[in-house]
Amino acid sequence: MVELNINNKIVRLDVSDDMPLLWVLRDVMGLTGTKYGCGIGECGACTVHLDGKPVRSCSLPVGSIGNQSIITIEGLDNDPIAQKILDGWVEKQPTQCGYCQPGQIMAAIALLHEKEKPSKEEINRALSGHVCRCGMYQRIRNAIKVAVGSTEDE
Amino acid sequence: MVYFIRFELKILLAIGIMLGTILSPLQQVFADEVQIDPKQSDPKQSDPKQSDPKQSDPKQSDPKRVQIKMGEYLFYASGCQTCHTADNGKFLAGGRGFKIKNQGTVYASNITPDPETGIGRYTDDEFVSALRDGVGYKGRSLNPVMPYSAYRLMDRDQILAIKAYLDQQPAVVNKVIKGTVTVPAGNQNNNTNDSFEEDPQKSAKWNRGKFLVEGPGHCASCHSSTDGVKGKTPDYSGSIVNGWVAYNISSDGDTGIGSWSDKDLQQYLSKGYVEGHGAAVGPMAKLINDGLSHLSQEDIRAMVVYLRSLPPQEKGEAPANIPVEELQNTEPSHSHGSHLFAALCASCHLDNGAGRQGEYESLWGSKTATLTQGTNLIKVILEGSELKDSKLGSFSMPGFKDGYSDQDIADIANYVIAHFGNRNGHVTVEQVKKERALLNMK
Repeated sequence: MVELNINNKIVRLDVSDDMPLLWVLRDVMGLTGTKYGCGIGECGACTVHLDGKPVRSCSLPVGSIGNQSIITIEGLDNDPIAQKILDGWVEKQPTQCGYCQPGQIMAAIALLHEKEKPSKEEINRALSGHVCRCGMYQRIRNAIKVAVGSTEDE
Repeated sequence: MVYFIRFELKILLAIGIMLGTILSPLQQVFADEVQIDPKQSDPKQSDPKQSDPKQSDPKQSDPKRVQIKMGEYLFYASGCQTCHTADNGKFLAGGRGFKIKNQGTVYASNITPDPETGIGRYTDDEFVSALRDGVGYKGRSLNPVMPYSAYRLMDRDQILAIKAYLDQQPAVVNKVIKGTVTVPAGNQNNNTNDSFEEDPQKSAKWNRGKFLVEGPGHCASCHSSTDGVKGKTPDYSGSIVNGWVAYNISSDGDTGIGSWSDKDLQQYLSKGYVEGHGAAVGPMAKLINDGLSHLSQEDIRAMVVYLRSLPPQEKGEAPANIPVEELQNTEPSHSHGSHLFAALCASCHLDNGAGRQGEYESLWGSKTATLTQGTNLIKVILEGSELKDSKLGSFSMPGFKDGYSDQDIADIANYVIAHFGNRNGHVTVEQVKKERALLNMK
C-alpha cells in the first residue's frame, strides 16, 4: 500500500514500491495527460512536478516519493503561471502532433516558478531534456517568452 | 582457471551414487517439512531476511538448512556472482573475461553444480583446496585472479557452507573457453595464515570488519596494486583492474576515504551511492548489487570501522568537491560538450549535479566525474550503469555509445570534469575510440 499526494488529493493505492509513478498515474489513476515516451528518462514526455520541481515520472519509483506533492498536467487549475503559459501557447501555437507537449508545458511552468524572466539560454537549458519530434523548439521558446511578457521574437 | 576433464562413465557413475547418498537425506528433510508445515512446502518460499535463527522452528535448526543459509551470506560477502556470471549470461555459469597485464586473458569458471562443465564433481576437499590454496579439481592450479589468498581467511566450515549453497543453484551446462594464461602448477598462495585470527587488542567490530574486508570481501584484489605480490601487504591505495580505476580506499583525507563520514561510507557500501561522493559504477556497482547490498548493516558498519583503521596512502588524484550551490551559480558554458550535457545528461543529473529525482543521480564531489583522466567517466558514458535497490527496483543509466561520435563523448567528459571539478579534463578522442573498441568486442 502506497500513500501519495496527487493533484492535492491524498490517495492510498495497492501498488508495489518499485512501480514507476507514470504507470500509477496512467494505469491506476487514469490520468493519461502525462505521456509515455522513452521509459528511461531521456525524452521528457512524462514530466510531472514533484514539490514543484520537474521530474521524469517514467523512472521514479513511487516508493521513493513519500509525502511530496505530485502535480500532473491535469492538476494545474490553481496555478497562476499555468494560465500565462496557456496564453503563450494559444498565441504561438507551438504544437503539431502534441505528444511531447504535457512534458514541455510542465517543464516550462516549473522554470517560470523558479525564474520570473528566464533568458533564452536558461529556457534552452531547462527544456533541453525534452525531445519534440516535430521540431517545434523555436516556437515553444517563443511561447514561453510571450508567457513572461516579452515582446521580442526570434 | 580450472577446466574439466571429458566425460568419463566410471566417474559419472561414482558421482551418481555419491549424489544419491547426499540427496536422499535432503529429500527426507524436505519431506519432513511438508508434514510440519504444509503451507510452506516450497523451501524457496521462505524469506531468508525475515527468519529469526533464535526461533525454535525445526526448519531453522535443521543443520543442512543452517549451513546453506550461512553459505548464502558468505556467497554474497565474497562477491562470487560478480565474476562468475557473465554479462547476459546464466547465473554463475562463468565466462566473464579478465585481462591480466602482460599475460593474457582468463575466464571465470562455471561454478554451477553441473558435473561436466561446472563444479558438480568437486569433492569437499577439492573445493576447500580451490578456495583456500588455489589448487582445484584434480590438482589443477587456479589463476590468482581468483582471490583464494583472501578466501583463505575463511575456515573449512565456512567454505563448505558456500559449496552447500552453490549445490542448491540450478546446474547450467556452459563450457567456458580456455584462457590464454598458463598458471604454474602447485600452491601459489603466498598467504600461509591458517584462517582468520582475531586480534584480541582490537574490538570485536574491528575484527569482524577485518575478516570481511580481507577475507570474503577481498577488497584488496582491486583496490591495492600490491595484493598478491609476495612479501607485500596490501596498501589499499587503488589500482587499475580491467581498465577501470579502483579508487584509493586507504584513510588518506584527500586521495582516499579519510574525509568521508561513517554514515556516508556505510550508505555507499550498501546502496552504491551517496550525495557528495556520487554513485558506484562499473565493477563496484556490480559488486554492490550482487553482494554488499545483501550484507547486514552491522557487518557493513564493521567493514567501515576496519577500513578507517587502514594507514593513509597519499596516491592518485583527489576528487574535486564543489557543492551544488556553487555549481548552481556558474555561468553557463557555450562549449559543444556543455550543450550535449544539457541535452543528454542534465535531464537526470541536472546542471548542478544534484540529481533530478534522487541521490543516486548526484554527480558533485564524485571521483568518477572529476578525475582529470576521465577513465571511468568515459566508460560509464559509453556503456551506462545500474544500481539495484531491494525495495525500489533498479536505477539505471543508459549508455550513449550509439549515435554519438568519439569527439562528442570526449567533449561531454571534458565538460563534466571542467564543470564539476573546475579542472582541465585530459580525455582524448583516441581514448574514447579505444574504449569503444573494447566495448564492441564484448
